Amino acid sequence: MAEKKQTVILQTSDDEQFTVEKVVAERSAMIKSMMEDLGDQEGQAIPLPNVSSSVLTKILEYCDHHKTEPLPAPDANDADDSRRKTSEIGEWDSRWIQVDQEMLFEIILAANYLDIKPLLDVGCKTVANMIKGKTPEEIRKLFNITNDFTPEEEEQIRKENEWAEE
Amino acid sequence: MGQDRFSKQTLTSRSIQSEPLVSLSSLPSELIINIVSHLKDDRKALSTLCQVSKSFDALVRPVLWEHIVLTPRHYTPPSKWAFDPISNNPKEVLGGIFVSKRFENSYQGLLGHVKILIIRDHTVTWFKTKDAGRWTPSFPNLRTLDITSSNPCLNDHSSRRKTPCRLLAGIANVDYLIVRGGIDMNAICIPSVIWKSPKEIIGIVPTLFPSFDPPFIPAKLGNDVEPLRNLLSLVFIVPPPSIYETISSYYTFFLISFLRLAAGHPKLKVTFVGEFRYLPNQGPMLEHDQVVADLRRELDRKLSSLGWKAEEVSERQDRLEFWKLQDWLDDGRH
Repeated sequence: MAEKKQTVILQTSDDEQFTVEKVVAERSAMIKSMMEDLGDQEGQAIPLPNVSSSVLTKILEYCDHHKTEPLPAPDANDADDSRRKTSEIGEWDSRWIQVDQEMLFEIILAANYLDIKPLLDVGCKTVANMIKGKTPEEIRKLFNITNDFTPEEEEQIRKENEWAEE
Repeated sequence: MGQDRFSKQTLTSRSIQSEPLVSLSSLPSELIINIVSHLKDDRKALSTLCQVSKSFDALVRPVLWEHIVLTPRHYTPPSKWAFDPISNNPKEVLGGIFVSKRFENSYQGLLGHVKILIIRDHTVTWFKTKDAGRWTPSFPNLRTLDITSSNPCLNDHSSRRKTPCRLLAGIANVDYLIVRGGIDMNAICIPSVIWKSPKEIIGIVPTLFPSFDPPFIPAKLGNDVEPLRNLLSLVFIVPPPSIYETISSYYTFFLISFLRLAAGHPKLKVTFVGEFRYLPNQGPMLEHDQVVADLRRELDRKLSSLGWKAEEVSERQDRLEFWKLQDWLDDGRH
């Protein structure tokens, strides 16, 4: 019990430093490989220039919750694909990801940068669920997207894709 | 558990305001494609996304067209093909676009995106060549052709008239060919050029009994080694329940025809998937493992009586596999 937990220091884009258990930080394949490269250089901070402290705080919550799960095998792309298609977002995850849109996209960007595949899937799936069942206009409104089609072009696309809407 | 949490040395709210606003449109396209990949089975949503804006159309349209299913409007899969993992959504219809030549210009470009083409019930009339006003689609990037044929080109077959199938005429190369149904493979109008290209052919058949001709590969190709040069794997799936009242000599005859084929194709593996159970006239049901062992022994005996050397027999047997359906499906490789 007296044994000290192995930790690593992460430094965010806004120069905050976070001392994090290695087993939590390891959820990020990117941090994991950097830790391996750094070896035993105690106290050396790992810079994360693309992640702000508010996003990292949120993501560390996720990593901490999932720290005991097996890490996904690197480059297990095919198996990955089918797992992604079939699995639903877990209960804890779906509560955890109830954030505003900006934070949601920040999380997706950071998950991609930090290479946390299950988190990237949770984020992307959440956005996919927001798209489902909506009209083009509702999607534009929700995500603040400008319609750059002429009415004729929009009609043309609708016609071409008609079969998919049976 | 509280002490296990990460410790955070400082947290202030500075600099958050100065971050540029992130939105869906500002994500790199690889991430938008990742999001879209979770909507692959929701074609309505994909189609809607195409209508949102030009940049979404450019990203999503290839996904929407990558995988298409042609189904007659009133298609019900025959119940005996209990195993039909891909037909979760059998309602998709694309047939209409082949009916008239006026669609050619708008659709041919889109068909370039198609990588997986699933044809449910290859008897429908849109594919006939009679009407010169219709067009022959081409699928230059097709990788997988999955075709279900209850009565392949029935009219042509019964009248012995071989009308080239317009739909398949534009397909030259596929890596995976999946053929479903208990059919006479020599009659099916899949052009020989398509049989020649795949690395893997999967046949899903209701039974291994002689309702269709052995060998599964059309006879005209089966005897010809060269045309099947790409073929590495030949898989037969017999959906359960596959309980047989007799292990007929047909079985071994059937297997021998494959081992002959394997002789000419040193890299070819042949796989039978099903649950092979056998109910003898007397005694208890023989389970899968027992039936397979019996079959293999019978093959050994037959092949050596045909003059095959022992090492040839065992080398061919090594390339012949029997799997239980559920095990095969659970095995990540398939």
